[in-house]
Amino acid sequence: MDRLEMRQGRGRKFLRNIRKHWQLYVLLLPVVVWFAVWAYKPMGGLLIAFKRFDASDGIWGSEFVGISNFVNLVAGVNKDAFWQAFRNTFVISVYSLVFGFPIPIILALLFSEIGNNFVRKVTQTITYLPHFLSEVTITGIVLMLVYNGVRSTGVIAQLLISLGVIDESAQIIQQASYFRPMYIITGIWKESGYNSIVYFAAIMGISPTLYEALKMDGCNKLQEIRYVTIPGMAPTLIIMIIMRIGNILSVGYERVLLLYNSNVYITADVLSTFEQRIGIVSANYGVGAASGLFNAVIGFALVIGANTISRNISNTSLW
Amino acid sequence: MKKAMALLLAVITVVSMTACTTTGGTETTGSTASTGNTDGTSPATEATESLDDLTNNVTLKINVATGNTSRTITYNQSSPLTLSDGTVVSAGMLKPVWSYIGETLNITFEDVTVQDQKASEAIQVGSTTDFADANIYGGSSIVEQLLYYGTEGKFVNLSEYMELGYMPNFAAYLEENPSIKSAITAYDGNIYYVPYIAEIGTFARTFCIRESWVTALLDETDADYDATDFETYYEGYYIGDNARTGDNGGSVTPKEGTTITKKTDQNIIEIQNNLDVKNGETLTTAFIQYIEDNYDYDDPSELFLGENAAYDIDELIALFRCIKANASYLTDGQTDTVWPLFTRQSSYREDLIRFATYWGGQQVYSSDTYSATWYLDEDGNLQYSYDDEGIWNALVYLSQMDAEGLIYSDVYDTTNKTNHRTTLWGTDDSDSPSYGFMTFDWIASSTADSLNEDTVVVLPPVAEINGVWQYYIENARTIKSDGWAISVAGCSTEEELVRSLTLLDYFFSDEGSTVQNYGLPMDYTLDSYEGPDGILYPEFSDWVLEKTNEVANGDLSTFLRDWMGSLLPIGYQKNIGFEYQYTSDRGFEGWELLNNSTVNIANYAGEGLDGDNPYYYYLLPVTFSLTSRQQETLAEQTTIDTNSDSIIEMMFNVVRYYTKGGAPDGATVPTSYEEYAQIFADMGIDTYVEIYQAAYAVMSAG
Repeated sequence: MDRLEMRQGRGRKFLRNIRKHWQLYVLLLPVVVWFAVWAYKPMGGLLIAFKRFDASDGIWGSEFVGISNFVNLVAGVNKDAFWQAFRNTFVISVYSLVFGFPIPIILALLFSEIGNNFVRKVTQTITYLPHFLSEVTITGIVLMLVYNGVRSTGVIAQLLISLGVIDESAQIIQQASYFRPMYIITGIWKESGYNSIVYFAAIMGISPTLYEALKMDGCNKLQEIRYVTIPGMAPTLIIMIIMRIGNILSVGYERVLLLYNSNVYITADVLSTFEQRIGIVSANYGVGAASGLFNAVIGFALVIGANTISRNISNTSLW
Repeated sequence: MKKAMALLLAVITVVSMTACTTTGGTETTGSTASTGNTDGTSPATEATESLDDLTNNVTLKINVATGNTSRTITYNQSSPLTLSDGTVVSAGMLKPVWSYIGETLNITFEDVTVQDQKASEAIQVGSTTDFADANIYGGSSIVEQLLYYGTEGKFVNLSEYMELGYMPNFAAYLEENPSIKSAITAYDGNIYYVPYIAEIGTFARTFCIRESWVTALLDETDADYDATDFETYYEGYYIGDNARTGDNGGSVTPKEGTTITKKTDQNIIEIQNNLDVKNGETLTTAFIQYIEDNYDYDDPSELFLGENAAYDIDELIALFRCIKANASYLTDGQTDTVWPLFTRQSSYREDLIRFATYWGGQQVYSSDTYSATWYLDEDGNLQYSYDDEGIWNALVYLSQMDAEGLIYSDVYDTTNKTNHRTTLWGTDDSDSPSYGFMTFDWIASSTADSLNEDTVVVLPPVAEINGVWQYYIENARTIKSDGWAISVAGCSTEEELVRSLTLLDYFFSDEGSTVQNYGLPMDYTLDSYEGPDGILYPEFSDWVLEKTNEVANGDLSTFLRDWMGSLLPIGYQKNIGFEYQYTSDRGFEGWELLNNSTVNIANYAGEGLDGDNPYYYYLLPVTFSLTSRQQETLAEQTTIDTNSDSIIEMMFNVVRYYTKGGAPDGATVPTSYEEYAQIFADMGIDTYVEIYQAAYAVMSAG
């Protein structure tokens, strides 16, 4: 059988497979379409990074300028702001990973140990709730809590003033050193509960017989967690951490944009807000797109690196 | 079940994808308007049919965005409005004024505005389809974009059509107002948009204060002043060699025939700073003594109040100190904290920088917008104001004032959206009152009876400005950065183009101008209201005033914009008769005070007192027409525009922290003018100025 016949055979098999399981393929269709329309088609826009983009000329019609936008970014007039944003993105992501990643896991472990189903459901619902509020609402609440003005002072600001942590006239939202804690704590509050779902599901997937065996051996709760729960969750943990590393340069712009001001750019301005400011506000689309592409390439390299390391060390990987 | 679910998902996918498709709006090569105008230079020779007989109904798509759902041509109020003739207007319908215009000009309006979108965003989105999605684009703060895309051939060249006889009213208006024509002309010599023009030649914002506080402090005998200690930081401006006496402002003329003479070279700031004990009583007593020693007023308060006012910036700050130090006395014990100076909102904090004018005549804003940071030097060249040493000095003086607590501290925080004027002037009778003294704001709203019946207009501080001692307010009413333009690609037929031209022109006709300024003809009587200038204006009916009170808390401007549809930010000339009709008696007194005084204002003709700079009084265009290459150079070699927010924040960091310290970590607070100027230099200010100078040179050359 030559190669062509083999290929035709494989094609026929694939078509037969589709006919047989067409319902499953229809279920898959929306996801494929979503990726095609919203993830792959817009990639054509990356060309803007190499153009002096004029919206009225379109992407193809705009003047090609080679790597000029990248030079502007890393060594030109915008270099200080770009590298500052790059550094901030990395630092905020690492802090979020270090402080934000364990919390949902701990929450999931705690949920799994709550014996009373009603209490567990109520607790879970309460912790999931902030996830369903918009960033505007969440940041609005945060800003109110830390606001310190003539006619009103937020509860947290009042508490910090009372404890002598900040001066009576201090504006927390104007302090660069407070931005990152404020950002990360806000994120933990908003997303920890919801993010715990995947870990909780992983815990629920662990066979109860393993826990029974440990009980027979006289292990206590902590030992159960150490020797069964955490190893049972390990594949999920590794997959999640690889995904987080892949997104390490993708700090969402909404929360930063809503919380920051130019006095805290030194710690708060991240690549996405830098791109928003230079690309949208200043209509310098080429440089904004160059920044986005730069960001994506590094993110891609990081996720490949993390996946390779994970595969070699733990035999668990995304692909 | 699995099959049903699969089919459902498939249907949802198909519907979603269908909804996401576009209508191919970019295919516009066959449009009539673009045929003659795509290069933006060739005349539309086809447009030779009758100008516009209005016989046929024409549908026009309008995109007028303001970033405010209530402020489009569509009625978006939750409650229906019953008009004076019984017609009911409900959400989703055209606003009454636009229905009327549609009937008058035989136009069916289709509002394609994304109702809460900002105009700048609408223009950005529109540019991706060559503006094919609407016949007319307009809104707030977009004229720079309209100019740019106009020169790119995307908007109709109105100059060509005016030459052919279209838009006769607008053409006549420009003929009568060549300075306005010059200000809206692009670098290629053509006009592409129709601007919103405020009441040119009149005062915009001015100084308004609580009158009773001045008289209570300076005229009361046996006043029970506060004894609270006061710490001083401001060192004074008219000190040493610059003492105000003799030729250096010793005599000033607040109105023709009246001369106010300062008798000595004393400086009140020095006097107050040298007091052994500084509190409400000592500061005020020293100030009263100073006024008596230096002026011949019947009452010391006349230094500030009325037509003979002759206070300078140091005397104003001395008064601020007395107010700050006498909070309890001035408020009958209601509070121990009052704020001498504030702006209406934090977003107006730039008004504080306008005080630079009174410390030596530094120019700040060339137009009635904070982004117009330009002025003309002695050679007629455009110069950027913010990096001048005069601005730096003003920031340092403001910083000293802030350290003394003379400026309301909430005005610096732009996340605070509170109306400070309402808070500090409008809560006297509330359970938790807050008190402020002076603001720089519009006369009518600042002297509204509903706000505070104690507020009055005062003359500005007298100062040496442009080398001449005078009264001067830089802030005049100007051409705004709002307007509208006709899309070349959006007009697919000759009929649409011609009717669009007719619509833009309508607002410069007598009837159209009146409709845009006052609303429906049935709601006012022409030539019935006599303004303080002696001119007859349309007078609103009782229905308008009653409805305004009923639905818009008495704010006539808001009612006309958000309910009726007039006064929207499109191309028209605003008429001041509307404003007069909601001005209080104290507001009229304020107008009279300014009009009868020698106060100078910036103006398009550049007329003013002879001084060091023959171009000092010129109002500049609100924006400049840049070529593509100039825009590219700006983007590639400067970051001034990208960092405009940071620049303002840095300037206010100087105000907040230069003197009293305590700057938040991470905040940029330059400690000298050299450091301050270097920040601008690092952003490429030299290139930035060169580009704008070149653009202005082309525009001003006509």
